[in-house]
Amino acid sequence: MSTPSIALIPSGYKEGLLYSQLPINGDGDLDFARTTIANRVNEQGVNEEMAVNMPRLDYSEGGCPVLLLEPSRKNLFLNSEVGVTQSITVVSGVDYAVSFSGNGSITFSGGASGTLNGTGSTATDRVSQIVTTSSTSVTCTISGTVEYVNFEINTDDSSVVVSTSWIETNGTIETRAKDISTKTGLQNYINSSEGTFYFYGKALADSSNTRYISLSDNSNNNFIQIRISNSNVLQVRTFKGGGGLESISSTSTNTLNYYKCAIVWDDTKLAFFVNGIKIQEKSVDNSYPINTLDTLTFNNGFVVGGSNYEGKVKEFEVYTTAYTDSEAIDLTTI
Amino acid sequence: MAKIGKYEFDSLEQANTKINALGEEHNHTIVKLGFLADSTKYSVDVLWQGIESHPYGWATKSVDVDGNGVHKFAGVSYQENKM
Repeated sequence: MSTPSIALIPSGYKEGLLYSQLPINGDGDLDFARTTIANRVNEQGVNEEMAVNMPRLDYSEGGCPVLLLEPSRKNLFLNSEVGVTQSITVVSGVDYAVSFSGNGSITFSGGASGTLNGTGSTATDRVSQIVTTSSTSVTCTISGTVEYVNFEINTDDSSVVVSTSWIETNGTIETRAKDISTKTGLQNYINSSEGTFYFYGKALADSSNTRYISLSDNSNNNFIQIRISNSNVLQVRTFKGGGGLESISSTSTNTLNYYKCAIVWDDTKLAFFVNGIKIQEKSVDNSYPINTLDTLTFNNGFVVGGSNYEGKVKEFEVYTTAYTDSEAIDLTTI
Repeated sequence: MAKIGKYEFDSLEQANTKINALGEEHNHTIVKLGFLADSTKYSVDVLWQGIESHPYGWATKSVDVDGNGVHKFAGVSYQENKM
């Protein structure tokens, strides 16, 4: 196997930057933005506040850290570090995600019902539940130890399907902004005429939103995308010279589990590999003019803030050669 | 640096019209707060990214509050960063 031109395993970071391992001159370091503070579970297994524009290397699953990319959310639960019984004004008929750490429980009444029971006292013992409201007020009755509580919803008050990291609140509702990561100027490290793009990660949730990771020319004319569709199908999509959309889908991949995938392209083919299996190869000219692809984004690659990837990233690599089938299978075998 | 704006619209529909006019190509964080307490106005907070003044049509709906009001953006003071 050849050496990647870009390789990133989340490990080093500073404000606004996530360091790549290759190239060693820093040209492949990802720009990072989030306009609010946010929390992560650190290597000691406790919640830690991360400053504005600071990438979050998350240890909530133990082992090596992953880059956490989450959507914007607002937390309606006040004084959320140590939960106390309270009534929350909500929108009726909407799905909220409730989560906490601790051995206690939250019992819902009023506009919701049921009980969420805790399983442990550490930040990694977080439990969660989706609560559907039936009126405009929900009472959360706390019993026992309930800490780091979220009663969260999208910022436009639309339903959520999964809980996210703890959002600290005091006397007011608080919003955490979304995580954004991009890098332009990579034309010396992406071989537009042929290459291999490898990604290892997972989605936060099944969702009705499309989510992308893209190599592109920062427009909608030329791109190579890994996409999780609004029906949660893992896909590769390519677009060249403003036309000729090609797509390959892996319908059997559960993106809630960590998966490894690779896209291989050159002037004779487009191929897609997932978890050591060749999904499909199309006999098409998928080469791009030299220096066309110069941007890597955790979104659709052509709309600022468009269809952000929401998930956890363990690794990605870009190679300047089109891998053979056996190389791509080796690369993506879990 | 991001700037915070707080707005009161006559209705949810009026708020949606202004929000939709921003299009999809932005990284602003728009938070719908609804009709707060006994207010007849629909409240929206925005953490604007990359602009220094209210977009067209938003300034007339802008309001000022003490402290952070009933909602804040995590770690970002309204008083220190208001539009």
